Amino acid sequence: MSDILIIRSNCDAATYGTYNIGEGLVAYLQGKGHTVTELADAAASPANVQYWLTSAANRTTKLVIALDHGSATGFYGEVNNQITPVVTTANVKDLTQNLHVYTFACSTCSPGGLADTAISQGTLSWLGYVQPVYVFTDPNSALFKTLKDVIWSFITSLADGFTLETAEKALRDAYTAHKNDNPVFSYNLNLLKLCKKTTGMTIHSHNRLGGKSLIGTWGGMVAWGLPNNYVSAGAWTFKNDGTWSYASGGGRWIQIDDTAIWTFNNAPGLVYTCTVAADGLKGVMGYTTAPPNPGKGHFYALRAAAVSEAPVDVNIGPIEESLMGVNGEPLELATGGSVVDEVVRKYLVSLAGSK
Amino acid sequence: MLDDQSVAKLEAWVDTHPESADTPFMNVSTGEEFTVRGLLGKLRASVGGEVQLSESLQSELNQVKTWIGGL
Repeated sequence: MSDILIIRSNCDAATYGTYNIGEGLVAYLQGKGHTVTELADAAASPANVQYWLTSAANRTTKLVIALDHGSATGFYGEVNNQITPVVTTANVKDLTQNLHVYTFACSTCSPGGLADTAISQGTLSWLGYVQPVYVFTDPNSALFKTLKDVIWSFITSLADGFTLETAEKALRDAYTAHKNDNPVFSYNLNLLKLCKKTTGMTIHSHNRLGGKSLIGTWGGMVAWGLPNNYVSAGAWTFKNDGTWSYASGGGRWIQIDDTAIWTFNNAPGLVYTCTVAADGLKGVMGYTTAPPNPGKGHFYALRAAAVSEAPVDVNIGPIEESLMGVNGEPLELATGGSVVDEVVRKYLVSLAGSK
Repeated sequence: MLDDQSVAKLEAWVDTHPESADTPFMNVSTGEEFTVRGLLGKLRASVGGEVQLSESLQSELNQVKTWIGGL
């Protein structure tokens, strides 16, 4: 089973360029903790693509990256060094349902074409181009390397747990930053299109696993001691590499099936464990050290709309006399800015009030 | 087709970006390869009545016009 499938054929001058865009991508994504399968060159065959994408087998669970030829009705791999369609309007429902797709290929997102068909049949998102794309042909040229960085910006954003909207913005910003360097950047930018089922998705929150992944950023609510006395604990960000962080510290986490557990580097003995659903966490926390300690309690969390690397203030949320940090220490009372946007914050507070 | 102002702007861009102007790029669909300097040369030849531009080349030049107009 793989989180991500990369397809990149290499059978003519054009795919020599697109193929090289993907050079090094497997190692990069694996370095971020993802499981990745690559179908490169002759391995980018219809049979292999069918094997790795058919929904019944669930071998690819989150994202497909295709660096290939494309058209309004299909994207292509190769057989006997000849371009050959591997995903078409006829099989796209089976092969890409409940997956996110990113194609650096021609015309897959043309109006009424392959991507639109896919979204209408259950694919979660598809970012591609509405007309033919352009690529530099010398992989050693400075402009090729720049274009490669631009195209990767969407992938790295998704891999880091950002929403599709944030990843699309990263890609558009990257193209825009280089539009004066060569017309290729402007051409591709003007053809870009994101088709999607809904807003606010990440590859971790919506996928073939039902989105039961802790990876990403959550807005936490904690109740120490007294039941139902929930207060906001700010944003918690869980990364692929097994680490997590919040404004005052962080630690390590593990997940098996839909159960997760994490510890704190800065609060020895404190453990959180919970059940993971697509958009919510529900669990308990407490100190495993001998008393006296801050005790134990309950918590829940919802996915934040977007991930940010900006520092966060854990002291957000409703003013409560018993307000504590997530590790049980008393906090200064405050309200105000946070990576968890105001809508999510209010929703969390309203949930707390209804419990 | 590019007007005189666009041509002048493109010539100025090529002069100030010589490396980029000579870096080949390809339309992945057609497999046709171009450079900005090459397109400028075709444009000059066309304006001078030396060659007739193909439909695909006119399409490429229209894209150049849009791009250079936006700089």
